[in-house]
Amino acid sequence: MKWRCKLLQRWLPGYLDGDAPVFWRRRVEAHLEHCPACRREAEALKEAAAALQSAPVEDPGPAFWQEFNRELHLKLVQANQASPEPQRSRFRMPYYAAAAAGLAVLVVWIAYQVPGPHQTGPAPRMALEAQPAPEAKAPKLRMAKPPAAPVPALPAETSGPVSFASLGDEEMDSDDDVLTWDPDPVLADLTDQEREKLLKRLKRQEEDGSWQRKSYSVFWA
Amino acid sequence: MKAGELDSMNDSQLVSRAQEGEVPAFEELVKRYQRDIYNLACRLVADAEEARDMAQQAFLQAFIHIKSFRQQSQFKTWLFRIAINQCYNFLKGKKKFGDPVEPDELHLVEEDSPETEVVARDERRRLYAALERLPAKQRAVLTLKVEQGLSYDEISEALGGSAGAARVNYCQALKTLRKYLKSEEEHEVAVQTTPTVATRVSRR
Repeated sequence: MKWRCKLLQRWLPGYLDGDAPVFWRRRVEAHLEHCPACRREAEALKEAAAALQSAPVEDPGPAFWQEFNRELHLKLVQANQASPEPQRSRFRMPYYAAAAAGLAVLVVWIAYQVPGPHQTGPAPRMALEAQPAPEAKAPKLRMAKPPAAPVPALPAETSGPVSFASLGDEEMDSDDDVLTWDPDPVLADLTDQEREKLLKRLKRQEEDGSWQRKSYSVFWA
Repeated sequence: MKAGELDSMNDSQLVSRAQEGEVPAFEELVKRYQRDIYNLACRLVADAEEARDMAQQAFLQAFIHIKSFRQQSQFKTWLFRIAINQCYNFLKGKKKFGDPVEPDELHLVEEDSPETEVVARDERRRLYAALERLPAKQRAVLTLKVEQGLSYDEISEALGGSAGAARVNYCQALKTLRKYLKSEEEHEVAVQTTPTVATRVSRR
């Protein structure tokens, strides 16, 4: 079969029932004039459609429809009584608006949950400063970070935010371990009250000789 | 409400009333489309009793879900879609559990003369055997196009997909039907000639 015949035969049914666009109708008509194979194909399709039309489904008669409608009426009444759906609100949010709102909520949530590299210092500090009673809010602040370890256990390279809000005086004053880390980045992230406590403790340890500071900082006055 | 008032309403008005829970308005819609839905179901499930159940189920489902019908398409095509889905589900179950249906079980238009009736019955048998072999979707597209006279756009609304896909599907369905009709005819000729040959062989 030629490619032209193959292409035009797709439009044969539409051409036969007059449903094809004018452009294709004219092309099919012109093609059928000189292509006997496609003419035969068109005749065969016409016969198949005619065969279907020649054997319609019988109308079962008025008694059938009467019974049909009676049964259906009972079912409809039953359905109407059984499940009276609550009247829906006239206002319906379009699906794209709902999706956009959901996406916005997700983005905001992710932004708060995942701290960026530049966000490590100031943000938690601001949060801490805003709280008058840091002890009460401590668990919330610790959620975004790995569980806050006691001060002495912090590694030397720690530069992230550290929460001392949950630490009581006993914990901060415990002398179980030796300080081997640089306290300056940590001190920068503390509130004045916390910084004062930690500095007091570090000075005491420096006097004891259990810790020696490597460098001076602005907090070490 | 007067009976004539519902008759004079268009589909859209009736649907609006049915959406408010008015059963008579929906029953008017049922009256308008019950024959179309029944015919479609008959073609798809090839069983008059089942077709009746399918039609009733389709109307019931339409009534239950009519509040979700937003009138963005025609009520008729929406109804066709529900009926087609009902029939597909039935056919799936039938395929699963096996329930052959004889074409003779169908109610067909009876002819007057006995001779023409015999010829017509043979043709119908061939047609139904050929239809039976067609995939359900092609049967649906043939019925919607040839018997219900829907356009390709309306067929695409009822069956899903695009109008172009409906056109291609219809073309394919017609070709396949013609092929099956031809093969059924050849099969009958072969069956009719076989006893003669057998008789000749037995005489030798």
